[in-house]
Amino acid sequence: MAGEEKEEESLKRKKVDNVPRGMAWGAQSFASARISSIREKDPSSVSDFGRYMAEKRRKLNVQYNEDSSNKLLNNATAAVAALHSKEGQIVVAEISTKSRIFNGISIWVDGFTVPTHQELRHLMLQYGGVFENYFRRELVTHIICSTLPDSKIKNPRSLSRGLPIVKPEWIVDSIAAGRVLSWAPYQLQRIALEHPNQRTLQSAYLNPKLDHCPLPLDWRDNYPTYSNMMDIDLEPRSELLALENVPTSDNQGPSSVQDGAVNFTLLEEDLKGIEVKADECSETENQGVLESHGKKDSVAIVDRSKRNTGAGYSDAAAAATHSTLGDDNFVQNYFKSSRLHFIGTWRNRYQSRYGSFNDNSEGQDQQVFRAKSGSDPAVIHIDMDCFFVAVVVRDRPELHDKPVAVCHSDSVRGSGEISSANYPARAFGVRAGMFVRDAKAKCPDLEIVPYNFEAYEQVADKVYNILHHHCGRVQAVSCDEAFLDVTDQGDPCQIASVIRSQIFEATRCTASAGVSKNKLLARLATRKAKPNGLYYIAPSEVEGFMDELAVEDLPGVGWTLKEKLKSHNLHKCSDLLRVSKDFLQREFGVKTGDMLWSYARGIDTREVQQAQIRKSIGAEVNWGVRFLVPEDAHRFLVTLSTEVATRLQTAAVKGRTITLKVKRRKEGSGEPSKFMGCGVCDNFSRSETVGYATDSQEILLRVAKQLFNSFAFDVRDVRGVGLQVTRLEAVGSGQSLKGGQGQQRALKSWLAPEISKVMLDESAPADRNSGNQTIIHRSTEPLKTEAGESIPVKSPALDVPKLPLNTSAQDNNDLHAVFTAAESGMRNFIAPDTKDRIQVGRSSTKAAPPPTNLPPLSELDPSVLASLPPEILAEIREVYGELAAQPVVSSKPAKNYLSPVAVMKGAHKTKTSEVSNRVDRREDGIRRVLPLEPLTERGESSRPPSVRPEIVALPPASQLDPSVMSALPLSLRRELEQEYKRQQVKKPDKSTLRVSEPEKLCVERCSSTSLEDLWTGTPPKWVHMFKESQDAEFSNLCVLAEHMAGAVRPFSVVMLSVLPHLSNACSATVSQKVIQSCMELIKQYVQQMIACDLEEVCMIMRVLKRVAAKSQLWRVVEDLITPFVQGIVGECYGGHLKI
Amino acid sequence: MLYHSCTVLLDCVQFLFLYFAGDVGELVCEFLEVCIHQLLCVRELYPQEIFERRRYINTPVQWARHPDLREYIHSAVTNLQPWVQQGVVDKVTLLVMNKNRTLEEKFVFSFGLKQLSTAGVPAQHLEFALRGFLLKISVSDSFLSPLPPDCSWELVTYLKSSSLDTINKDQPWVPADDEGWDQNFIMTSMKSMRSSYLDMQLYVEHSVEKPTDE
Repeated sequence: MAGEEKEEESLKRKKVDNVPRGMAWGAQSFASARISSIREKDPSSVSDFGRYMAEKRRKLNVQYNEDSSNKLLNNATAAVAALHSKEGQIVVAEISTKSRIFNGISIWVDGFTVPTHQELRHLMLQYGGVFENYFRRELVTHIICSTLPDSKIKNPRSLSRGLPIVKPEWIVDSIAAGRVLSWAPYQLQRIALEHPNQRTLQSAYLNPKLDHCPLPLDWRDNYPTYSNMMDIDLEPRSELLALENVPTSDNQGPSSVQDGAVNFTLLEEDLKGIEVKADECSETENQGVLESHGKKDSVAIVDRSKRNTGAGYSDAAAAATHSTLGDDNFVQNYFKSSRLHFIGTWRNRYQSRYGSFNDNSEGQDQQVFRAKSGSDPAVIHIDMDCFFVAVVVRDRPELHDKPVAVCHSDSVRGSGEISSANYPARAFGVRAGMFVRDAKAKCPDLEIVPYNFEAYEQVADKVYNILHHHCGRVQAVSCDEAFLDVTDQGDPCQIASVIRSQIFEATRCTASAGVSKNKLLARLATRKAKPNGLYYIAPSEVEGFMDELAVEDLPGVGWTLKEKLKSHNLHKCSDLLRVSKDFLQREFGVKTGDMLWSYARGIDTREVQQAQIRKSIGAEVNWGVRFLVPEDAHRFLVTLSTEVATRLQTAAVKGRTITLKVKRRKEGSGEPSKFMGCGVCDNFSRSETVGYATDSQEILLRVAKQLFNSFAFDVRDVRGVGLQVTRLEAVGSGQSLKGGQGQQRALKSWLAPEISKVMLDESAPADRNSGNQTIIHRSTEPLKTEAGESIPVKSPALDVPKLPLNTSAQDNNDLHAVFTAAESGMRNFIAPDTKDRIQVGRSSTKAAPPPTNLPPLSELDPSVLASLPPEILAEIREVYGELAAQPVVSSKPAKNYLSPVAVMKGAHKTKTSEVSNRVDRREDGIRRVLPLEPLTERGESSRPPSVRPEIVALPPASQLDPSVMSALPLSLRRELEQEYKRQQVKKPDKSTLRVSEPEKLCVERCSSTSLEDLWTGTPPKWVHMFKESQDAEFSNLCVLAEHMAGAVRPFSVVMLSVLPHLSNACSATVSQKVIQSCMELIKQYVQQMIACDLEEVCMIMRVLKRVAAKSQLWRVVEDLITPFVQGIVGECYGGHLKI
Repeated sequence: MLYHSCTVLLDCVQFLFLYFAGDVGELVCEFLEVCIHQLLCVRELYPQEIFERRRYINTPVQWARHPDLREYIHSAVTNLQPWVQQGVVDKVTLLVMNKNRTLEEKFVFSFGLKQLSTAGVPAQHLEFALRGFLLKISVSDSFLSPLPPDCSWELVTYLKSSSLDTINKDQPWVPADDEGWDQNFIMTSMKSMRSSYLDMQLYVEHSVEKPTDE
């Protein structure tokens, strides 16, 4: 007990020297830290402060409960003695009978009170109430205090979190009266005055969170119902409320009570006059609740009210209709009344409406624009004058010239945000984004009007019709703001004034226009033009205009940037002219610096863009999201995914990546101050990419659920959920929206590497030559035949039959013959059962333009096919004929035949070559139409099988995507690289290309000319040369050649590795020929390396030195080569290489 | 600080090199900065005490601590970056001169930024290659003779001749005379690297008088 006393002492002390809320946040305060040190000896040794506090609360609770049971018995003596004498008598009188009047009430005392908080504690003990030492929103029902500092008066919510703040007299008087009095008259005077309505409305709904309190069973009987409270509460204020035109039951006297609930249906009549829609910002006042739902589902409200009191479920239930709980149409309603949503979907509508128009005009328009870009550009910026207000006011002439603002609710508490204010209101200092109460403070006559979304939509449509009528290049910024590019369309000012007058005629709303040479200046001009004016900045005036401008007037300069600029003493645009671009970029970042620099000079290179391609579609709800059980969340996801799917369908797009964003209540943060808001949250997001674009609700739902579950959150903590779909593709066309033009992304292009498109271009002339454009489609680089015509090498895809391409210009007959030949050739290889299929394939491809290099059907993975979306599948079917119907087709011969020379599929190469070889041998006639290998002369059919066929379909090296290269398996990559090297070598000299190298080398190896280009190819040419040389002397070098053959290592390393062999070998007579070969070898290597790899040159020379020490041959070589190398180094670098 | 940024950068080296030639310039410049510090230390152009050991691509390097020196090197190299990216830089040299302002040594970094060639070091080996440079620098005193006292140094960049007009007025770089050798000089190749995206060589030119042959 002594310890307790001590603690109470310290608590008291703390209370005195702390600000009142020090208690509430004792967990953070120094004083309570002191307590912890005092209590260190506590046996239940506590590791951290959180645990300590929890433990302390528990103990206090236990003590309190013990006290309460004890004190019930001996109250009269101990407790009363502590009381003020005047109340003492009453207490004594009442105590025995009404000992538990405060049942269900939990108070927290803030600051200095009379009676003291200690005494209040005793009182609560005696009368069945709860006294909380520490403020916790969910435990406390009333805050007791006598005075509050000014700062808290101004913002009582921050202190009370919506709880009533009551004077201590309430307790005393209640005890005196023997029942709990309405606390309303006891509200702290200043708060009651400052916020006259808050108390009544708020308290009725938001009052205690009693469901959290440990309640005795008889609680309902004792505790006043809400309706009672309302009666007491509202009556005295009915006048005021009526004056303010707030419909409550007071207009008809006290609200009727049904089963302890207010019958809200009665309110319906009153509500009709109110159009305010609650939106996502809707506030705590139940007025908002009534407004949004009173009309629509009054039944639900009655129902809820019943639950309210009946089940003691107040807060959660109050939230029910306003949250995801219980309202199945929550998502729809939510979006129906959200202004942000209006603006968001407006763009959607705009695009669907004008998108096609833009598409049509764009190309032409762009051209016109480009063609005449020589003349001065002219940009008009049109901005409707306080659009949201003007549209509403135009039908209400009585509001004309009065200060009017648009807000979602004209709540008396004034916590709604003003979204737009007209000019008379702005004259009072009312600004968008202000709270209504602040605005009203500035302008008491301010008229608040609700949104009228239908009218906005109509007006915006009209406006844009006018704009598009005048100009093909319209960039919509928002529903009330747009840029027009009117270059070369006559006097821009005149156009602007015509537009303005037309807008006014059509909509009775005024628009302001700014005209200048670019978007920046036009926008700035509009600012000057407002309201209802036109301002033109002539090119000559730009400088003067900009000089006068303050930096914060520039678009893109916000508060932070402004402050930063100010700190550099840059206040006006003219100041910006003084500093260098470099400085700006250094101080503010490259982009911002650049922007500032050019803006200050009135330069703006941005062009008037037409409708931008949207990158994502989604929906996010962060208001009113409350779940109790996982099923709630899943139900919500159903509605959310439906919403998103609807949006996707409306926008006629599908997306592949689905992202789920979840807001989770931050650990330890209580109910948010904004009613049903999300409060302080941690944001999480996860996404998943599905195999193909979708707009189906089922898939969205499935993925969303999956993602949601993967978070494994407690659903009760979830405060917001958003679902977003990105990587959009237009429906039907299969076009990716990316980049605007939309590349063909359908099956065709997926299967054909991009490169084939390039090659299509290349082969185009060949097509024309042959006059068979319909048949030749994707061919590879033209190769020469003896006739000198170019033959595109057909990639033998499914359309093999069409492979035979015209060798001459005599078309059809010839072609037919070729066809037959090809078919007959194929018959030799194709099993009977596959033949038909091929023919089917042919006929289908004949009808439609044959697609690209399709892989053979047998290579298609049936499981992939199965998962393809129907459109693609249909396309596949079309291409493959009926074959695709049978998912697995095993036709080996066909496979061989049909292997595409896919660019990146080096693995197929050998197969095709086999095929072609076989064809060669069997059908001489067909050989030349399958020119998979370079042919030199007619009749030269004895091609040595050792020669590897070329991959003829390789794209030019410049077309290669390095990332693709690096992603290939090593072996494949090497193969490709080698192929490139080979082709590179061959290109310059076509004659060498056609001679099979070994043969040629064998023939000519002795001549000096054969020593050219020793290092070309992979492996280098000399490897073959040395290996295949019959000369005995060369045999010594074979070991070198062998090592070099498969090596990717530098030559110096190879040479070093075979050093022993080399030195042993060449000891005897050395023929001139060998020396020369070796010299050439080194020489050419050095020549090749000198520019880029001095180190290697150095190395090779060092190795050479070492070999030379042991070998006659290499010594000679070294002697001869060194001057040459030094010479070449001198030539390149100007010095001598140290070797 | 530098170490930190380097680690980050190197995690995405492959990415950078595969996609943006521009970022090759960034990497080159950063690497150059490290090399210059390292060279200054190894050639003992400053007292050893002003250097501290740091780590760059997992290689210990010496890094000057004096803020002015750091700033000088950093700004010089950073301002080179646009040129490197444009591919107009032929070589960057670190000239070491004795007190008579005659050239003692010239470390040359020569660059070839390539779009694509299929030869050379694969991109993922770039880190190893760059490390090779640093290691070679750190042992360069073995094949270079000690410098005379009171040497000074400067950075000179050689641009490809066609690109003189790209010089921006804001550049802190100023046109310089070619500090040529008045006699024959010897080149020692220190390190060369060839990769698909970048060729880089480091060699040192030094005068003949200093007999450095083994």
